[in-house]
Amino acid sequence: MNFWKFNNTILLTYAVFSIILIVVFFMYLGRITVFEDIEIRLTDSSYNSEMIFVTPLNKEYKLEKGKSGTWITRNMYARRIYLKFQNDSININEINLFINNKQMQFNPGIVRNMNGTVLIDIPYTSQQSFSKKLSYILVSNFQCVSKVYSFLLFIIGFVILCCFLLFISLDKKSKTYIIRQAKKLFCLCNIKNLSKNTVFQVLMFFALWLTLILITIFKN
Amino acid sequence: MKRKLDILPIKAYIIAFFLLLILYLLLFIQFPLHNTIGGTCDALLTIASGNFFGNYIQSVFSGYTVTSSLYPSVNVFQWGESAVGLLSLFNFFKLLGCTDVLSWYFYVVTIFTLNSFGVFIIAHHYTKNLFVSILGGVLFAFTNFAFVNLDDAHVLFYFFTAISVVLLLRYKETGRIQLLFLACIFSALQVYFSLYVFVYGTLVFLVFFIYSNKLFFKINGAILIRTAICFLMYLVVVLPFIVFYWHAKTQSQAYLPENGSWNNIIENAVLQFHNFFSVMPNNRVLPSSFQESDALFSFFEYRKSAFFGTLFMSAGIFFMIKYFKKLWPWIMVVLIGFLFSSYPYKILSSNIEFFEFVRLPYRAYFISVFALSVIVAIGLNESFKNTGKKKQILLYILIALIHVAENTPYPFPLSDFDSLKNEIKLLHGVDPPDGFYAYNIAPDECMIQDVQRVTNANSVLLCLPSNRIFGQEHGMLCYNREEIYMNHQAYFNRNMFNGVHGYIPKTRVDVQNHIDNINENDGLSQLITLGLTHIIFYKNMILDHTDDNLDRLKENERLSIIEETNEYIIFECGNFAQAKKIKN
Repeated sequence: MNFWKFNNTILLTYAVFSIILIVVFFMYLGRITVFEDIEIRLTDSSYNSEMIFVTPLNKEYKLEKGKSGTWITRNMYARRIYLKFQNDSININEINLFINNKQMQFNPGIVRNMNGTVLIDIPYTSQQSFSKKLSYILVSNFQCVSKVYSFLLFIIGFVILCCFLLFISLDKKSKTYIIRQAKKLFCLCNIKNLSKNTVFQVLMFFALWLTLILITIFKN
Repeated sequence: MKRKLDILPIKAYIIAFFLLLILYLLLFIQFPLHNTIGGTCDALLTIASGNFFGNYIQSVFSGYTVTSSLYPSVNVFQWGESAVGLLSLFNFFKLLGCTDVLSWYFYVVTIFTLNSFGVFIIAHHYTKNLFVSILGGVLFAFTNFAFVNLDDAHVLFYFFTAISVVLLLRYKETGRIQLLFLACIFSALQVYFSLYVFVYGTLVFLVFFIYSNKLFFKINGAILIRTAICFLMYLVVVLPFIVFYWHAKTQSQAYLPENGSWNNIIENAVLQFHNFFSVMPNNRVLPSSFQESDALFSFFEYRKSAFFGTLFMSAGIFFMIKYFKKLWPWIMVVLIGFLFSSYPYKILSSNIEFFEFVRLPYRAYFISVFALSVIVAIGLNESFKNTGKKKQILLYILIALIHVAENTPYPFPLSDFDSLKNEIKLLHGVDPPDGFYAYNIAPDECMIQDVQRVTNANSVLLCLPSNRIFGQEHGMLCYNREEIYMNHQAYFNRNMFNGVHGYIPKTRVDVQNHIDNINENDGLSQLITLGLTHIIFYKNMILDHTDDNLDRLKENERLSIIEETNEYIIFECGNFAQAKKIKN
């Protein structure tokens, strides 16, 4: 007897709903902005400069300088970032800097202002690609220590959800059979008998040991 | 009917003791070989307090006036969790002629050996198996958690707890009332060895007292009288300690920077999930998130590394489940230790002020490890009792090797001061000079003779540089420097303003304010009013420009140099304005 008969109406409903969900999700991806951590480091820190950060609402912030000529922002989205010098006679032909550890070398377009300051635009653009945005949504909603854990958590959650939905879409006979088999497997007397089994005990011990080793390695 | 017990031949006990002793002598040998100690502030305090205690005992017999650091405060012992029993142990090695470094080494080896031996005795009571009992002893004391608390070795001295538990178990089997009373005495004696061990050891004692008397299962007049007698005996043994500290603490005038509340410290001193898996640096098998210098600068977080080996952990959990009915008292102890050392205690102490008296609750976890080592020894014995003797021994050796590999760092953090200095320079931007090496913990003979020659019994000394002991920049090194001065005081045998302790007297804070203003005449005048007669400036203790006020001291009209070497200068206090004018 084939115990894996599905209800086609439910499956069709899933398919339609999934397509709608995917389309809406990509529309959403197109609209969100990615807030990220930015670290900017000038290789030549001999110039006395300020780093100005401009938000999508045109608000300007002066970033505080950290050690070794580094400016750091956390979880921000920038429309524009520029260097500001108080000395208007400054003449820079080339700027060497690192943004999020990626080196940038460019010939600056210098803007000399009336009030004696010089502005140099940093050619920085926030993350716009779909893959970066997907990664950002994943990390924001599944907050784990690293992106790998967030991704794993998402996959595990997705698989569990799929299993659950598939179970719901089974026909009545198949559902009854599976529930009966599960009751048989997890009944208390079965568990008691199994736990007295030496092989099972040894396996459980080694599984526990391996788990603790992995936790120790990842926690350090 | 109570059965007669089989007593293991004394020969086997002696073999086990010496095997464990050799193990720890070899483990910690890297410290005396490098002429270092494996601890920082608390190890230095143990040495300084030990030497002071030795002087104190000598003064009782010789009639000489005892001098101390933290002048003008008296009763140095009231400022910390003094463990006179273990200070006596330290002094025993000093009496044998050992240096401070060597005495500390033997002191630590003794504590670890007795800990392991105590668990051996308990495990053997259950198993009657020499090898698995030795393994149980090794499992308890040979752990990452014990090693990170090497600085404070007295808080893991559970030998008396082990003896009292064995006596209670033997009382349960034989019914001999003398064993019960002896167990009470042994358990109460812990208070003279470590206050923390006394508190947590008493909890362990209570569990086994209830277990061996079946206290809440059947209550009759005889049991109640017995319990009352035991309680009285406990009180009598503990009473001298309570009387001494009651008097000392109510007069203490201690400086409490948090307005009398220890809550901020307790909050940070409970174990969190990641602490149970934190490994100390230099572990060759498992990764560690710590650097060696964290033992010095982030010692608070470092000491909470409650990891004791994945094999030990998994075996402990496994056998707790498998032998739940047989081992329930030990499982109770594991749970009590866990609850008192982690988040539940934080809730308890924030709602009930009484529980604030234990500042560092993570130390309760030692009783969990203690109980787990017994559980694992019993569990292994039960699981392999039908296996051949040779196979058993091989298996236990394999388990011991894995356990040792998971827990033992090599080299031990703080064992090589030269490499530690380089790391401190790189990470913290300061280069500790020679004065911070362990071989300078005690002053050399020349310095002692110079100081004793130019001063007398009524002199009061101030050692410089002395600053930043309340947690400012390089605070840890400055704090340790004060403790080195405290140890030097024990050799000079003169009163001294310097020193720090677990709880700082208010007078010390006032004195420090004057010391910070010493270059202005007001600071120096205030100190002279308090009794200052001589200043010893340690050239080999200068950390940075903040410490280096030597030139200004030399120019000061109230100070005159009476002795100078490459390492130190001794100034006498007085009015030397005229003499300096003539000289100029």
